[in-house]
Amino acid sequence: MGNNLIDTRGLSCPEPVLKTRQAMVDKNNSVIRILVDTEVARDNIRNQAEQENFSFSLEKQGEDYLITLKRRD
Amino acid sequence: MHNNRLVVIAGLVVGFFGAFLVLWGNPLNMGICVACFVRDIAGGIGLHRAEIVQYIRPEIIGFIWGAFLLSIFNGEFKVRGGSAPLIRFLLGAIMMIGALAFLGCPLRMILRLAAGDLNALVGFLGFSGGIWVGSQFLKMGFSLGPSQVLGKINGLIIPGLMLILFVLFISLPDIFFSSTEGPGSSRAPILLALGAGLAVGSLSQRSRLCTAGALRDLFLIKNLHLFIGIIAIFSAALVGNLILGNFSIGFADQPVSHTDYLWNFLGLGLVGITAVMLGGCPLRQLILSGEGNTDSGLIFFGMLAGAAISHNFGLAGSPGGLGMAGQIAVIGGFIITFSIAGTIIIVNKK
Repeated sequence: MGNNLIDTRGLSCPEPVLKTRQAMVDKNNSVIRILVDTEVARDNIRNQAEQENFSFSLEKQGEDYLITLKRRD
Repeated sequence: MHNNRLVVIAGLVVGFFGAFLVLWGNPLNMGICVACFVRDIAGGIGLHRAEIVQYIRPEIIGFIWGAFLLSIFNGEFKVRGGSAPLIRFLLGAIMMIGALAFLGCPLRMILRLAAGDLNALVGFLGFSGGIWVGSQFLKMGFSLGPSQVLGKINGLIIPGLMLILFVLFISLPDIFFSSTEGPGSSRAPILLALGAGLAVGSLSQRSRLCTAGALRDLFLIKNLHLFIGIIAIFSAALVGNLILGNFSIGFADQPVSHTDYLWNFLGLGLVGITAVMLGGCPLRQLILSGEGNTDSGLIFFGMLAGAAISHNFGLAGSPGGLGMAGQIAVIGGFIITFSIAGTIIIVNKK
């Protein structure tokens, strides 16, 4: 796991998507990885990725989800 | 988008029941009100003795069970807890005191607006202001911290207690306090109320409908998704109220409301701030309680305590307005809320 992994497990709404958005706004981040533990956070981040023009991929890790976002050019 | 369709359907169903539960017996402009109904349950179990607002509202049991059953079914039942429990309890109580100063939760605010009650517009401005302030807290780094994974049994406590409450209520109704006049005596038939609660609870679970999240997402992440749900609630309730002849526009003489502008504004302002700090409006907290979130379960208990405090000490609004004690309580609520938020923000910055 790289050091640019955002761990949002256990955080209430909207902190997971807020932290993700803060990372999206930073133009230096072309790839963002986020660990979430709820379907709500997963779906919110998916919506946000669509809105901010990032690609979204998902990997289930036990009870959690590892999300990878890639900036589209 | 597929997701938007869900939140629209959920909103329309909430709005429909919001209007039609009045026809079936619930108080005017109060087809659904999470704060009022939790307050009625607090009265029903004798936590307060305000005789006009005591009843075991089956809708509340339905919200929690609808969310519980669907989350078990769709695999979203996840047991979590331990994130600042005492602060959550306290903020839940304060959220309730604010809602009862206005006379309704944000959901009833929308339903009141859809019946032409312009006091709810003042409340909406206050609510929006509160959400904006809460959103600034989040931007400044406010967080109640992460919850932990807990054993499954923890998540069964709230649905289990609701089941016991319901079984006792239908088998031994006389053990509970029960209003014979006032809003607490206006009731839809039990099974209809429970069914409406189950429908609203499951759809809200599925769609994540949240009145506070709607504005918060708009302010914080420029996302309209949940706000579309609010528009759906309003639209369905408006159409329902027009059909039922339950629409009259104005400030004066609206059902179960008062025209104290400042306190309508501040009451729901306090609800807005606390709802953002807690991660959701009163309805959302009940849904999360059903999904296994024990932090929200504790907020539900906080809301019951807040209702009891509110009515035992005369802090709630009434058609005459908000009394001095209620005004002091709302101001006190702001002071406590800002102190907690400020302290956490400062500590998190270090």
